[in-house]
Amino acid sequence: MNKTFQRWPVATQRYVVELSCVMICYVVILISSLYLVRTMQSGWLRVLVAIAPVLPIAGLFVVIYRYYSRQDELWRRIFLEALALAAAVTTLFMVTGSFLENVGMPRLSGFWAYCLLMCLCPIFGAMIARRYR
Amino acid sequence: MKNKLRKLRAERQWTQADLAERVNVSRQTINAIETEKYDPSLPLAFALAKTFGTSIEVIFWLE
Repeated sequence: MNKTFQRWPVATQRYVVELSCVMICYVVILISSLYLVRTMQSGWLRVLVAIAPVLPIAGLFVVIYRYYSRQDELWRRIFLEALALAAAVTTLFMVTGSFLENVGMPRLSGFWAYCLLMCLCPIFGAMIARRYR
Repeated sequence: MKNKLRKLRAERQWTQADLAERVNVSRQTINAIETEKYDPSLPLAFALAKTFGTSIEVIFWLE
C-alpha cells in the first residue's frame, strides 16, 4: 500500500492526504453535530451546531481546487468538461424529479443533487480522458 | 492542427516523459499533442518551441 502510494504523482499524494483529513473532520463534526443538536435547546447556537458539517464540505471544495491548480492544462480541460456534463445530467435528473412530483412521486432532497454531481464527475472524467489516450 | 513534435523529440532522443518534464506537463498531455488529439494552449506551444529552440510555426501548422 505504501509503495503504491509513493508511486503516485506528488500532486495526487497531497490530494489523498488532504482529502483524508477533510473526510475525517467531516465524519467527526457530523456525528458530533447530530448528537449535540438532539440534546440542545432551540436557539442560534443550535442552528450553528446544525450547520457545522458545512465547514468540512467547504474544505472539500478547497482541497479539490488545490488539486485542480496543481494539474496541467489537459487535465483541467478534462475536469471542466466532466463537471459541465455532470452538472447537465444532475439538472436533468432533478428537473425530472420535480415534474414527477406532479404525479405523486416523493419530493427529491437537494442532497441528492450534491451526491449525483460528486459521483458523476469522476465517471465522466474517466470517459473523457479515454478520448485523449 | 498538425505538428512534428514526435519527430523533433526523436531527433533529440527524448522520451515523452523527458519532454513533459521540460515543459512542466504530464506525459499524457505530450502523447495527446503528438497524436493530434489535443491542441496545446499558446503558452504551452511557446514553451515547446523554446525547448526545441525554434518557433511555433515550425512545430505546428494548420492543414
